Amino acid sequence: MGRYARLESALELGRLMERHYAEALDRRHLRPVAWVNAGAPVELLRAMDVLAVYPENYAAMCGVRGALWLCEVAEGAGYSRDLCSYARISLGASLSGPSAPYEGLGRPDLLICCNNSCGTIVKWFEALGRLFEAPLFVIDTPYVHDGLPGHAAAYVAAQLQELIHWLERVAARRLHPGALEEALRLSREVTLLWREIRSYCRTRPSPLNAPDLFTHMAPIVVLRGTAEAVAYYRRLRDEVRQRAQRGVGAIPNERYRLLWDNIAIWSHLSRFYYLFAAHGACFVTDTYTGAWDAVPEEGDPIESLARVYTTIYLNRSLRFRLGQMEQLMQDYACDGFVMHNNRSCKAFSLGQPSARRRLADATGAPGLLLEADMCDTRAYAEGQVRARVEAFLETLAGRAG
Amino acid sequence: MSASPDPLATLRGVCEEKLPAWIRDAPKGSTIGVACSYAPLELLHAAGLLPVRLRCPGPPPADSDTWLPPFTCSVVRGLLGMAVDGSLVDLAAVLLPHTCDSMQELAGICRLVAPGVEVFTFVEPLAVESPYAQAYLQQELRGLADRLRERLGRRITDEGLRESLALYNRIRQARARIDGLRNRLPALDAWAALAAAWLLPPEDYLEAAEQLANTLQDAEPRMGDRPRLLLAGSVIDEPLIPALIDELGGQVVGDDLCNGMRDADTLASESGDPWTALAVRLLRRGACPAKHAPSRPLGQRLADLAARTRAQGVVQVMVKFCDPHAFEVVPATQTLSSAGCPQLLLEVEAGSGRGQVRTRLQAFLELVSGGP
Repeated sequence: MGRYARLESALELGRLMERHYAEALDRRHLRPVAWVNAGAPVELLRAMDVLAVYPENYAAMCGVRGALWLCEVAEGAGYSRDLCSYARISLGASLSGPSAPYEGLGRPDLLICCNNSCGTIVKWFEALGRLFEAPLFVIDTPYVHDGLPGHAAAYVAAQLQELIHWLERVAARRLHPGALEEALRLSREVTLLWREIRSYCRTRPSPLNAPDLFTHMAPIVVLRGTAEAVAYYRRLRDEVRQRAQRGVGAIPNERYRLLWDNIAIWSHLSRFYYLFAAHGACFVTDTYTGAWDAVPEEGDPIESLARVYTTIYLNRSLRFRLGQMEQLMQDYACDGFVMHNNRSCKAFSLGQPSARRRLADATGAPGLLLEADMCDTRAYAEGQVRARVEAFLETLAGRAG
Repeated sequence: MSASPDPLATLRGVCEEKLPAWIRDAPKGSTIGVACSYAPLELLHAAGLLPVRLRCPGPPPADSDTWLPPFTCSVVRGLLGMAVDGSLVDLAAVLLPHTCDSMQELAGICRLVAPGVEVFTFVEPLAVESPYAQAYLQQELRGLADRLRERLGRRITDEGLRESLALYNRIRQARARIDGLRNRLPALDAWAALAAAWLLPPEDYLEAAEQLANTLQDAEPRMGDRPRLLLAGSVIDEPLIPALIDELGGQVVGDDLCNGMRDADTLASESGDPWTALAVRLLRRGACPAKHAPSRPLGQRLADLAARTRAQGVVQVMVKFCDPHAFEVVPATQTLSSAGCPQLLLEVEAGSGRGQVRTRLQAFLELVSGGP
């Protein structure tokens, strides 16, 4: 096959992330450092000048490099091998000090997490809080089975107000007038840019493949609500738009268009997705990077934050998520779908076996359910994965005639 | 049904049935299955429903493998298995609280693959110590009451709720009495006497439990100087572990189990607004490891309970793939070690074999009693 088309923006992405981590690892802590999860309302931290650092993002980066040994450090400290590998990597790295990849993630002054992705995150952050003896604030976002009830939105909004007071007390920061509105404005802009970038994958051939989306989602996670993220995504948007206009595909000879469900397999980011790309199969859309697609509404900023962070993808019912996947399959003209049945993520994975049947019935497209793990390589059976992927690709080929 | 002349036989009997037989004879539409100890039993009872905890002894039905990944806990596998194989057909509905990620997903999966099962959800707070949790929970309870009215035609009055709070308070007091008289009961009988609280109609359980407590009150202690164990962990749906403790010559002096005494330490206020009283009880009860309750860590609770009951060792029973417990067991183990309390961690699945469990329990009993 031909060469995989690398995005020129990747260089800038590397520089941007280096700058972010340089500040996170600066031992002087020129401003308070909060370790937060990807679903935390970071706009409040931007507005109060608290540096947000993401153990999940760090774990994914470690996963790409190979992080089994960090999992084993955590397991040696008593954490079960069945637990989320992000959590084990993060705890393993925290226990390993500067010998961890990138010399570790330093120390947090405080911890903030939100259970809109899962309950596991709360137990993980509780463990970090004990380890670093750092104060922890948990934002409880009730799961949305049907619509978002008013009392749930009010509950989250009240906790966000409390978070402001907590940051004033614990981090000695103030919320400056207009700062939150500005952070939300930037967040809105960056989310719309990300949405636009992903939407160019509707063109045929798709200008991006899943590994591109997985790599380039980093700033919307760790720099959401900043001008740097907006500038970066404008640049990426221009490049992707140009590709779409010129008919440049992410992979050579795109034959099949696929939907990806669940977190990436970071440990095999190139090798795994190459199995597909080599046969002209491109992942043109996914549910993972789409989780950062929700645009904060205009209006009262606290209420807006409460609504947007409570209704994110993983905090919605299986029926809702299934509907979203059906819509994506239709919008992106997908020929099939692959569900990563991720041992580390029950929130994403438990409903997949039943959703797979429903999605296949609803769309008439074949789906592959593949058990693996986002970072723990012991759960990735190379030969078995290859055989199942090849069988799936043969099915696709058979249908294409 | 009415209590048998032998209350212990009644309590043990219901624990031997996968789904209690009385459900088949109950008036149609009067029973509701619940999946977790955070279900607001008082509210369901005030709605004229008879709540029964769904339990999953034995290997999960094969059907559940079709719908769930292999890394799902046996509790959720068992519950889904019952939903898809028609076991729940006699129930008016099932209530699935949102205790952990798996339980929350179960509701959505049930709705997809077992559409014949009427599923109610109840999203209780995770941050049980948040100053805003109570107001939210009260609204959530009201919302559940509204849904019960809309979908099952069940109405709840304040007076009815108050009466149900009083009934369940008496049940918790009866359970506490039995718990305090464990030295008159083998571990298996004590486990059954407490677990049955979730399985019998509340009035029937109360009658049997009070009868048993009265009988025990008059009996002599009979457990002697058997090694004293505290039993803690997730739900124990099978009699295997308490039965083995009896067989191996130990005794259980207290528990912190989901279907044991964990929720029994907090009574609801019987004066004032009953909705407030129910919300406060749910927030203040012994916290499940899935909750964020920073002032009440599991390890400290176990260490205190071990000291109070003069336990010589703690057996922590963890259902495989129960993530909240798997996290919580790490600091709990550290706290117990600091308190000088020997402990045994048993990871189990429903239907798992007795051989390895027996060997490990035997070795632990030898350890705490000073060797063979």
